[in-house]
Amino acid sequence: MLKVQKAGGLILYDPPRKPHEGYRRRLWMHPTVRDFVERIGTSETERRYQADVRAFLKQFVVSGDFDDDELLKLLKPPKEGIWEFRIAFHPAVRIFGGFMRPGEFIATNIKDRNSLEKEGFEVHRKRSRSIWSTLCPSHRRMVAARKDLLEDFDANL
Amino acid sequence: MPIYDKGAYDCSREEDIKGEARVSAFMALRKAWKDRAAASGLRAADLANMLGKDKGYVSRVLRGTTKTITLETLFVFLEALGFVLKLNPERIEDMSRSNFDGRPEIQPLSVEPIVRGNNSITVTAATITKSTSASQVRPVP
Repeated sequence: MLKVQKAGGLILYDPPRKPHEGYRRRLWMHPTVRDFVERIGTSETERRYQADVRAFLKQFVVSGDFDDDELLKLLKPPKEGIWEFRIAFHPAVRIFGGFMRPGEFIATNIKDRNSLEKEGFEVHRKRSRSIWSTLCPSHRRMVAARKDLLEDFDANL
Repeated sequence: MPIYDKGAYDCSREEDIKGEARVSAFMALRKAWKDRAAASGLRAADLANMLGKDKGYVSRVLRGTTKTITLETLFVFLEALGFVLKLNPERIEDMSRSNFDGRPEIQPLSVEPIVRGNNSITVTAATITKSTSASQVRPVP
């Protein structure tokens, strides 16, 4: 993973945290996801939503309760292990990716809900799979119950 | 122990702080809703009846598909769900700090000047290695 990071293929999401907030789950991002997440926005509405996106993902990192289909949902077919973060509030952006191991998520691609309605999920699910295999050809996405995947990251595993 | 530093507040982060407020409010609502739905079999239609609101609106609030959520809305929904939200400010210096840091260990970026033929100097970041303890490079206040 560090090799991919060094090569610029993945960026660790490391939001500002308060002293009581630990970095409990690792969140890696493909550069396109990171570019979107770090965007400031040009209008007030955009600035507000971009802040919501960052805050939502920070909750994942500091071990917020994501055992909830409205926040993190497994796409079909479940055996592929592709999940979508369902960012709260309009325009309901979806971030796709999978778990490398419990507490470690790789965000591969991103799409807003309106576009998904038109294009369908299939193309973005395939894109997620393709980005994953480029980044981590020797690692499969972990398939397990959401509750188990949401354990805090354990470096000793 | 961290101390309160008047100069530490970064006003450029205001929008992000507001985002944290909105997302925290939504996640608090989800937590209460999941609890009641699982334990009491409550449905969105039941909650809409209790609140005297349109079911579609209540569903959108519960699913986070509205534009945002206000503190007032959160309080009203939580009251109907039989929850109390305690707003109890704590001094940051009194909070127990988390020592949990799952980030990969990194070394501080050392710099190596590269002298080019035209006498200009370029500074590059050295390779990140894992040999230094994270606590050395990331002091937590």
